[in-house]
Amino acid sequence: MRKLRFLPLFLLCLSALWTAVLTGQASEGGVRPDYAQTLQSLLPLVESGRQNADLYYNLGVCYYHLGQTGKAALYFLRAQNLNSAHRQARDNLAFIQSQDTSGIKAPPRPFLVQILFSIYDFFSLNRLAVLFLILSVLSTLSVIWLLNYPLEKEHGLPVLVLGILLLFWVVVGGTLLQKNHRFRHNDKAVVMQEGSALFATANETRAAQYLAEGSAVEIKQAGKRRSQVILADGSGGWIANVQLERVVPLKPTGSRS
Amino acid sequence: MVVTRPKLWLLLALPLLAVLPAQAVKVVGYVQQKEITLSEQLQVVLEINSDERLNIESPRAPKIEGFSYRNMRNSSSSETALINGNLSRSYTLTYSYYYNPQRTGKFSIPGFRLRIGNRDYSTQTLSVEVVDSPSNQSQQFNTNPYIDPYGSSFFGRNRTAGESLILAAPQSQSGYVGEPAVISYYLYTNQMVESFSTETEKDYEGYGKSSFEQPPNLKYEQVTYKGERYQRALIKKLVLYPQVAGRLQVPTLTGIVQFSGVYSFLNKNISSQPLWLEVNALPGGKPAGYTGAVGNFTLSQTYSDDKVTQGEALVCTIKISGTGNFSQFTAPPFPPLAKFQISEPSLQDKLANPVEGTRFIYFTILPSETGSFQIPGFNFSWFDTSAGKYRTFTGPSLELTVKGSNVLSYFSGLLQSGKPKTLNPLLERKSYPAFRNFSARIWFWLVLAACLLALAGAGFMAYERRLNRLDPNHYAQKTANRILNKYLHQATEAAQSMSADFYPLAESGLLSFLAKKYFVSKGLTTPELVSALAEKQLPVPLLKQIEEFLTHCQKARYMPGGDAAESLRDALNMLRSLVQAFSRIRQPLNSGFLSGGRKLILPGRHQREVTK
Repeated sequence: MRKLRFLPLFLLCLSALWTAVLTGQASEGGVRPDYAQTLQSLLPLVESGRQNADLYYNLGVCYYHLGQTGKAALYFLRAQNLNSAHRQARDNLAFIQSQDTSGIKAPPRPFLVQILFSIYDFFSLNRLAVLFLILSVLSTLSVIWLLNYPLEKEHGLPVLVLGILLLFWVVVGGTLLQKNHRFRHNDKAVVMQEGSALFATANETRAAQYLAEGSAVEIKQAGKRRSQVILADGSGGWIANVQLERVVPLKPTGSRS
Repeated sequence: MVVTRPKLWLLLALPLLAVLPAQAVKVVGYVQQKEITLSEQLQVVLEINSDERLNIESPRAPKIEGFSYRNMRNSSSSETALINGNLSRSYTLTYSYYYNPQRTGKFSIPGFRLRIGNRDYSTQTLSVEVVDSPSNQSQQFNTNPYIDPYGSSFFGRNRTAGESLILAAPQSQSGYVGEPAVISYYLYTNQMVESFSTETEKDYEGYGKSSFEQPPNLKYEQVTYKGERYQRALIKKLVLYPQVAGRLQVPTLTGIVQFSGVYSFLNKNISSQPLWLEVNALPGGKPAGYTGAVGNFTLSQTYSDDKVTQGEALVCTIKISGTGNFSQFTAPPFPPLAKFQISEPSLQDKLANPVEGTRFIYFTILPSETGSFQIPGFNFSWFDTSAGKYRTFTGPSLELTVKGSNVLSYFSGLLQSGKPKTLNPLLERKSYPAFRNFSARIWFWLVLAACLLALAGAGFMAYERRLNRLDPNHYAQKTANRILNKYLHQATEAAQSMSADFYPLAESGLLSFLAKKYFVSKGLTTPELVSALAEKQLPVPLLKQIEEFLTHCQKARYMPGGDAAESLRDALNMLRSLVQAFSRIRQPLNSGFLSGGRKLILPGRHQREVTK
């Protein structure tokens, strides 16, 4: 039991290590970077299929400073898809959304909901995987502890510990599955053209409203020419596929994952 | 006001429009107020901004349900900015459409669709709400759609004799290069003028300009001009930003005066009278980092915190308040800082008008290492027009403590209100390793498999312990059989390899089996053992077999030629027949089991039914 006291401390240290690794910078500031040149040096990496949250983030910064807000938002979302705890990408995306003058804003979240979403974002896919393993090992140990617990003693404590660990194990495992699915099939997309028309139906010819470049939408249903999307404020409509770019591009038909 | 042009001109203009796609054009539509009363007018504004001068037809007024269209006015403006040695120009065409509301409710305003060059542009759909007028507000618009809105406040003039002219009035006759000069254009008249619509603004070299104010209605005031009484109404206010020193002529404004009533056919084109400004050059000795700010400013600088965690951003805010050429200068970069990433400056203006207000400059500073650092103050230089000299502001420096990050530091942003003020800077990375999904790695599944194996092992052991606890006899038999099988296997291997180890292995295996199964001591001599087993009611032939085998083993161990193949084969056969005999007597007779599959209730604390 005494050893268990160190568990929160251990987890805290482990998490601190992750945070330090994930947010560490190694640069010297003060010189205005050449964004076009930086972009040209990064694009071959992306074209070769390299996936890296910092790479996507830096691409987003370059695109933003070169005036391509849509691409910037897309790469910040891609960075978040790889690492939902990428704080700089999250802030930059919020900054781009705050510049949106179309008036389509997500309703403000209550404070507690914000905390929940922050916790959800903090546990990125790989952090969840590591946490899931830790919980699996701890659950196994607590099962063994319970099985070997002296018969003459009250079993309340090991049962309680095992119960709590199993509860976390189930929650973390479920979240890991959900994040894994989202990592592979993220339905988010970004409007790539300023003033893209949003239609009320798939065949409507008159636009209901126009969206700003860089607006993030969620694709509900993909059609041949248009896709049904849900906007940040919860409203919906249809938008031409050519004006959208998915965070996770669709694989060509027939390809195997 | 729509200007009709001959079709020939249109045909000539089309090829010219086709070469425009390279220019940067921005089209924005908006309404002045999202909520108006029945007694107010709706003003829908379309702004077309380009880096080249555009020559396009006035877009059609959108048809809005619940509104009657009244009038349209257009204007153009240009801005020239010299920032960091780069001269940039922008031209803005503004079309204002006026509507009168007909009923209350929420209405949708269709977006504008227009073609500039070979590209289509569209603006978003807008909405407006019309509410009832307050009861004490008696003024109502004339519902006749053909009367110009200017006419509503034009009373008291009943003669057409006299003159109408436009006078440009500068705020100051002289200034410095870059110092904004506000020029007001007034319509002076002593005639019965119904309305005035601006047609053109003729520009001259040496300045950039932007619109300052353009009132929707003519609001007259009584003035005396050249000894005569006139009605005067402001038509437009422009801000000029002189780019060169010398004598600059201000833009000439041309428009059409429309008289009211039966004299409406006497429309008249009038232009503003020429006006010059004296522009002085800025003195030499520009401070380093000077970005072209001219005016009277007060500055302050603040940091968001003096303690941050690694990965957390420090925001530096510079506040510039006062009067000056806000549209003509930008922010210099933040002083270089080792071990910090610094964002591009982000500007946010809260201006009462183009030349007066407050500008906020934000820098995001990301520390890369923990420790204590000295952050220098921000430097900003401007030319103070009231003092006639350059001034430099240096903000206070900051002793910044950067702590290591932890779990809680990730959530620190939750308590900060407001949106991010600027874009976070680039992250310096020497390499970008490919993302690896841990849950798809082999070690992830190996650890999970190890956990499962550990659980299975622990479960098995727990089951064995439970079995031992609940029924020690049954458990003893199980383990005895395991021992017998184990030793038989080992002994067989020894016999096959013609090893003399067969005898001790077979003997100790048999003794362990008997001790475990029949609870006899392993230290007994052969006769004592046989005697003890006889008490357990083992069959006599089996007892004989045991005795023979043990005696044979003891002899063979010390007998010359005991490890001969024949002797070993005989001993192995004896052992096998013994094992077979024991397998036929699976349960001791006193253990509570009966042959023939009959059930028996076991004595003891944990009673259970067993079946053979």
